[in-house]
Amino acid sequence: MPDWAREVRERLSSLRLPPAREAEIVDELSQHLDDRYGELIAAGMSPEDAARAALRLFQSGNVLSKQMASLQQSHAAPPLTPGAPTGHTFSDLGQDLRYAARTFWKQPGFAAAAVLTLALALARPPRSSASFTACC
Amino acid sequence: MTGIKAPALDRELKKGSAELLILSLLDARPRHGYELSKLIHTRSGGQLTFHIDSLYPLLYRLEERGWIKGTWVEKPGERRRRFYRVTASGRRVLAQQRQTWEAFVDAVRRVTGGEHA
Repeated sequence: MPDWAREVRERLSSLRLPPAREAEIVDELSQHLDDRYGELIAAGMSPEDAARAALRLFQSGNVLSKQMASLQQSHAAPPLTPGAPTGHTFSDLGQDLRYAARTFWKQPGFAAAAVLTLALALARPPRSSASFTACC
Repeated sequence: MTGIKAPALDRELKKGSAELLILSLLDARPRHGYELSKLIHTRSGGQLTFHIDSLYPLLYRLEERGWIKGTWVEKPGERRRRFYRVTASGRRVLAQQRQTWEAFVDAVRRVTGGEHA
């Protein structure tokens, strides 16, 4: 059985499809090619000729990619990795703050302990900070 | 879509009617892509053929517009298939496109058939 998925995937590689959507399209078009292939085999064609004939369902040149390029799904934003820099200082800061807020929201006890510790440490008078230095 | 040997005009006519063809076939019942391409080919007497790389982008475009909706259907012992059905807004578009197409064909027929009437 020819590797239809590879044929389809190659033609989609220049697009920015979300991985799950790309997998669906590969599945759907592979099924179509497989249906045609099976039909030609049933009609008495050799497997090699049937595979070649099925692939002629694609036009010359990467028409699939060109036709798909104008679709919204072909321009998905790259997946956001927590902590990965975007290259923009302010958007990185915003991203970090949102990530911190989400993390704190998930662990409110930890968040409260962290905030309290910081508050106590910052509120201590300078003399006390000297004692910290002495003992540690 | 390929078929009748004629350059630009035929190509444009077919391109303009492609949405109408798909919506009409899906109006009857949900179908998958391969069934759509077979039906277009057989019902047109082999005059109209969709290449795989034109058919699916068109289906995805119609889906993005909200005119059709694709759903994966799994049956035991078979690979899953994506069936498409027309949505309510797709039916409204289909009715408009049918009307426009019929008016256009009628107008062309009146002009081109005038001398023989």
